[in-house]
This record gives sequence, C-alpha cells and structure tokens, in this order.
Amino acid sequence: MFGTWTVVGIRHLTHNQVVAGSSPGGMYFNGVDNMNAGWNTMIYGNPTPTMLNQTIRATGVSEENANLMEFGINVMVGGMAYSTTPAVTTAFSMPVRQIDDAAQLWEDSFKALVKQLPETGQQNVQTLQNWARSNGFVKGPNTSGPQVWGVYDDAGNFSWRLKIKPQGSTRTGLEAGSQVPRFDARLGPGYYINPLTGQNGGRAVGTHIPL
Amino acid sequence: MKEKKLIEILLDNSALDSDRDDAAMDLSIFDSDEVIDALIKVGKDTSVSNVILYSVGESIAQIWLRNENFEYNSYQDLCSTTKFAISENMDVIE
Repeated sequence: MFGTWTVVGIRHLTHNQVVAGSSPGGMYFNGVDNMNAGWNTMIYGNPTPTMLNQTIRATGVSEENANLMEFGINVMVGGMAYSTTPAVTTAFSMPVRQIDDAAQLWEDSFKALVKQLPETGQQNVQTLQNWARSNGFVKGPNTSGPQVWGVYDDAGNFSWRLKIKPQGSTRTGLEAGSQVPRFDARLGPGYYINPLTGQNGGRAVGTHIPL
Repeated sequence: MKEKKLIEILLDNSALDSDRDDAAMDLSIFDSDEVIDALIKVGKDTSVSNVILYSVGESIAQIWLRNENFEYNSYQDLCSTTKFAISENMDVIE
C-alpha cells in the first residue's frame, strides 16, 4: 500500500489473439541511412528553411519533425528543395501543397521512409499493419515519430500495441537494435510479441525488432 | 555511462521521437535517482509527444515496481498520458 493507492502488480494478459505468421525479418542496412546522414548534414549545416518547411512548422510541428515531413514529401515528388547555403535562393519548383493537416503530412513522410526500406522490410511493415488491423488495433493520434497502433479504453486513453520506426537512429548511446529500422509490438502491458514469428514473452521478444 | 547517454537523448528536444522513445524504454532497467528524475521531468512536459510520454510512464512503473516504491507526489505532477501508462503497467487503483 502506498497512501491511498494500491499497487497490484504488472498485469499479465492471458487472451489468445490470432497472430499473422510470416517469415522472420532480417536486419537490413540500406541506402536510407546514408541518405538520412547526408540529409542531416545538409540540414544541420546552415539551413535555410523552405516555404514548405516553414508552413509545416507553422502548424505546430517541431523543427525536427518538419524536416522529416519535408524530406518525405520531397522524396515522393522526386525533388530536393533544401538549400544549405543562405545565399542560394531555395528553388522549390514544384507547386507547394496546401498544407492544413499535420497528421496527413506526417503520414506521407512515414510512407516515404517505408519506401526507402528494402522490399522485405516494406513487406514486413505491411504484414505488421495487417496484423494490427486483424487484431482490431487502430492508428494512434500522433502526428510525429513512429507509426503507432493500439486500443482506446472507455475513458479514451490510448494504449499502444505496435510501433513502427522505419528510420534507423544515428545517435550513439542507444541499443544496437535502435540503429536500424525497427518495430515494437505487444499484446498488452508486460506481454510482448513478435508478430513476424509469433514468438511472445518479455520485453526482449517484442522491442527493437529489425524490420 | 550507458544511462547518461540515454538520459541525454531522452532530454534532447531536437532528437527524433523514435530515438527518444527508445531511450525512454531502455531506461527502464536502471534504478538511479538520475534516471527517475529525467523520466519524471519528461513525463510532466506537455509538449512531449504521447508516444514518448507513454514509454516514460511505462519505465517509471517498471522502476517503481522493481524497487517497491511509489512516489505519489511525483505521480500527481505527471501528464495524463504518463499517469495512464503508470496505472496500466502497475495496476494502480485509486
């Protein structure tokens, strides 16, 4: 007992949910890391935000995520519109999309990052999304970071079940599993699963799994 | 050393959400006051994304459970998402 609160313990779920099976995903190091590294160098060198970037940030999106969204859009339209040299006028030759929905922009950037994955990685993302749908999970309300799937309780609280992170980290200090595109999955608090293999158990089973 | 790096990433507002989320998750295995302080600091920051806040709450819950501790005052100051994660992972009943 702690004051007026009682700690009962970690809840262990016992429900038997059907898990879509497929081949285990491997570890893939592809051009996305190099591309992102080059992009980050460009961005953090001496950036001149494009109109698109400024418009995204005006919606309340952080600079980091605005850069990511812009990156995704640029990848999709096949052009790069970011100048690291202040003297160079930003040449965003494509029509600037009317931007009024940060969530849609973030979704677009997520899809662009997924497209940078090797074919098997892209298939794994699709398998994971299908697994989430088949279990009744819905996409979370986030407009930045990983794509999250989960469930809402009666009070409207969101509890995650799947987090897809298609961009490997370049930060030192994180686990090796964070350095590559990855995902986390669970069936409930304290009960993790790898939907690609069907294996379930503790945290090690369902976190930082390579796509 | 390892936990200091993770704390650094968690507290870095310019870091990718995915990286901060991983850092929050990975901090759950540490018990130091420094780790708890960092998690609580982020856990009450309303500008932080809900994905990270949930992972922060999850890690706080695991640390408190492991140490049979529950800091009620700290809990009260946290964002609703962080509180929800703690309650979901600790089965806290008011």
